[in-house]
Amino acid sequence: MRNLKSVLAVMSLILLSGLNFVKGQPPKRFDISTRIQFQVQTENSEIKLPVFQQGSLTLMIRSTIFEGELTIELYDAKGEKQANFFIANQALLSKPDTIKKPISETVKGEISKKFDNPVKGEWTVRIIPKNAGGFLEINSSQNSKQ
Amino acid sequence: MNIFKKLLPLILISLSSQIGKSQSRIEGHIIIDTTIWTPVVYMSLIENFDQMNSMTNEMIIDKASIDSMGNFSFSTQYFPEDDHLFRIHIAKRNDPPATLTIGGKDENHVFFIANRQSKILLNDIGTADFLKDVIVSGYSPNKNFREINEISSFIDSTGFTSSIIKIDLIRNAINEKLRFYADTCSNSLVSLYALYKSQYEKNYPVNQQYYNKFLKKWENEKSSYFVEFKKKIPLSQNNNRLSGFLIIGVGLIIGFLSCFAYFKLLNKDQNPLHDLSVQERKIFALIMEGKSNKEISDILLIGLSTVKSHVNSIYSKLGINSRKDVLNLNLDKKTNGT
Repeated sequence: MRNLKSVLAVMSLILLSGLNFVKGQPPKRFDISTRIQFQVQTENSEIKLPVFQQGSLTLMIRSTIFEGELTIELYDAKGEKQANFFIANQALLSKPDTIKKPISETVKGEISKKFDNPVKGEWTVRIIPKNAGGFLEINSSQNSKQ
Repeated sequence: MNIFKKLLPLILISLSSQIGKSQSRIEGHIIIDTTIWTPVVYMSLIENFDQMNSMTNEMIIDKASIDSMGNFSFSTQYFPEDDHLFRIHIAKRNDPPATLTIGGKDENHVFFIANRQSKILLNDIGTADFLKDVIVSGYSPNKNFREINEISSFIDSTGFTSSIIKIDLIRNAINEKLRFYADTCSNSLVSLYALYKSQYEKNYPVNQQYYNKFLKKWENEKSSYFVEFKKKIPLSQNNNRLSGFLIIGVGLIIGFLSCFAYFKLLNKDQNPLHDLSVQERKIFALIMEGKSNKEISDILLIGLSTVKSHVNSIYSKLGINSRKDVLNLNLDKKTNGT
């Protein structure tokens, strides 16, 4: 299930970024967007972000969890950690899923970064959940210098 | 009346300390758009530097309303006695209170160092960067804390417009500067923070002496910040272990050499006659009395050739060549007890 989600996520990234190429024009902007929902998930996963053009990279990673813990780490193509956050909502672990969680009890983390001259290659978003229930959104865009 | 006079200084001291305590507060002023942001400031205790990018409901220890003039205030009465790192943040109306936004124009938090006696003022200087530009004043370590952030942010502001090699060179130079800052700073928490910002994980395997010196300098620091840091720097433990092994090894070698030398000395001091057989000792004693080989042969009722053979053996064992040498042997002490 986890692998399926990861495959779907990567495919959506490729599709979204591919749309920019089929127009036959020099690429000016690459937008990537994905959303992952998870329930009591513990297995780690990764999302690859292709950065193959010159130009600034803007990344927004946002997650809200209702229960459990979630660590998000962003690595550039050289493997250097560029950003991270950790959010946890331990108090709700014992509550059944049917209970509607009030907004005040959820926890939200967000990274918003702009890299003027990003290292070219595959950037990685590492998702490390521990009994986590919630969702994750990743949006990235790159402006070509052409 | 006399009792009152005696107690008056104590009362005054007590009152003045209470006044001092009442002045210890975290006060601040920020301008926010209340259609977007909830007018509440949340305060979290950050117990180690790895938690700076963490958010949980449990980390939030207090909250204060922002009044219509943009002012808010926290008591520090329940703060720890020694310096700790704190974070205040605000949340958007649609977001939960436990929301952490890192980077961007909506970065929603600011860090500061405080203790129970701190009187701190957080002032938004009204720039577009919002909470990033809140100035923390009233407690000097916060000025150093801000300087460290400015030094480390130089990588982001300058480095990424340059080539990869230049970025690495700039990063190395900045990390070196942060290590220097950590080395010279008089506040332990700020000093450690400078190290955290200097990519110490990469540096410590090649610069172990520096980190040993740093930990030695702050060896009395038992705060959670230093406890966590020591866990990440195995070199101090390894080095201690290595030093332990070295001391034990050197001790064993010295012990072995001492024993060897002692036994060697003991052997040297040992009576040389111990090397002689019973018969040879009898012959040796007769030689000492000045007897000839023939006389010894007659006394011991053995052949002359046997006596000669024993005499040669005695000479060989004692390292001598003649009867004269036998008589010259200093056996006063050595023969004692034989």
